[in-house]
Amino acid sequence: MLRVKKGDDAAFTQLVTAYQDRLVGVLTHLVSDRQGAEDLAQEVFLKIYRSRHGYEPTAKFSTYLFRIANNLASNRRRDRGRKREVNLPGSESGPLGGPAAEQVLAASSSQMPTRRFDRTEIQSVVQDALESLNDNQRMAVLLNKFEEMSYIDIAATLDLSVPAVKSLLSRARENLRVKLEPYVSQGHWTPQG
Amino acid sequence: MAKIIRMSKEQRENLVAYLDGELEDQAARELEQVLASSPVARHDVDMLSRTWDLVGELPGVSVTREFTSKTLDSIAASRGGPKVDPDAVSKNARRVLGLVISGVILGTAGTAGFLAANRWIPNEAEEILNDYEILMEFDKYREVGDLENLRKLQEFREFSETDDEPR
Repeated sequence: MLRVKKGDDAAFTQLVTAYQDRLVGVLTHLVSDRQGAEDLAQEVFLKIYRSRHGYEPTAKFSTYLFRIANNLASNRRRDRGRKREVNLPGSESGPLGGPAAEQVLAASSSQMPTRRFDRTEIQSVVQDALESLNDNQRMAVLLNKFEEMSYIDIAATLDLSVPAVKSLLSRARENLRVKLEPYVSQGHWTPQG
Repeated sequence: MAKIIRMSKEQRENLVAYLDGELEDQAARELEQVLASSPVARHDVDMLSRTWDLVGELPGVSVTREFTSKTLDSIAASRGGPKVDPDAVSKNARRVLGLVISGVILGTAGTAGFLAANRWIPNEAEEILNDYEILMEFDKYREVGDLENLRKLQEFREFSETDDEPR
């Protein structure tokens, strides 16, 4: 990023290439929409490029990247919240293209004792559980799980204190446990490596 | 029989930090004592751990090459720079080269024309400069008239000069 600050555009191309999968991955699970996540990721890279002259290496680049991503995602959610006065009917498929989690649950409820889930179904269930978290909890979980960020880095990304992150993750993981425990305790899903 | 220790609210909140390796040493040791004596606490930790593993089943994402090029194009557009099109570059280079060659040809032709005109077309001013000495004495030459008069005048001067010499 320091090379980018000095005007090295090739270095910025390297940054985009290095971080695009990670960024789009986290944003996809955050906003539950692949296309929306890609649009947001482009916006993140553009914002970073535009503010390159003011960049100061006070934290890891990934912390800086996801902090901007979280701010933009929050702004977008706020904008959507204002427009949500007109609600569209629910779609036939889940946000990531798989079956909607409610459909999975409805279909499985009668077969709960014996039925095993395939990977797409369980992904849908997990995504549904994630969506039940509030925005900060969801982002903290994604950064913790997929970016393997420490509590200090998550705190810097979300602009919170470390104790606040500890509490946030505790509540988030407890919520996930409540939602997902039936699937692991009754053998509906076992990791296949 | 080991005494069952109940987990406090604070210790329950510490379970996740403990699993993440983010709990301070003292608090971690206290929690381990509770876990050693409480099947309920161990079950909670087990479920927290297994449901956390389930979150890892979410699909990974690989973006397409189109995403990368769209992102870089949007950044190029924000710089105000045009997209780099290799075909457009070679067309422009050919156009510039054509203009340079045309310029060289025109310059060479102009110089050659100037030199030719200078050499073969008579220049009135130059002729006057060449005949400058004659023109300066032109009045005298007109008084003399033709060559016969000049010869007579010469003879006359020779005699008069001889007469003037001291004897």
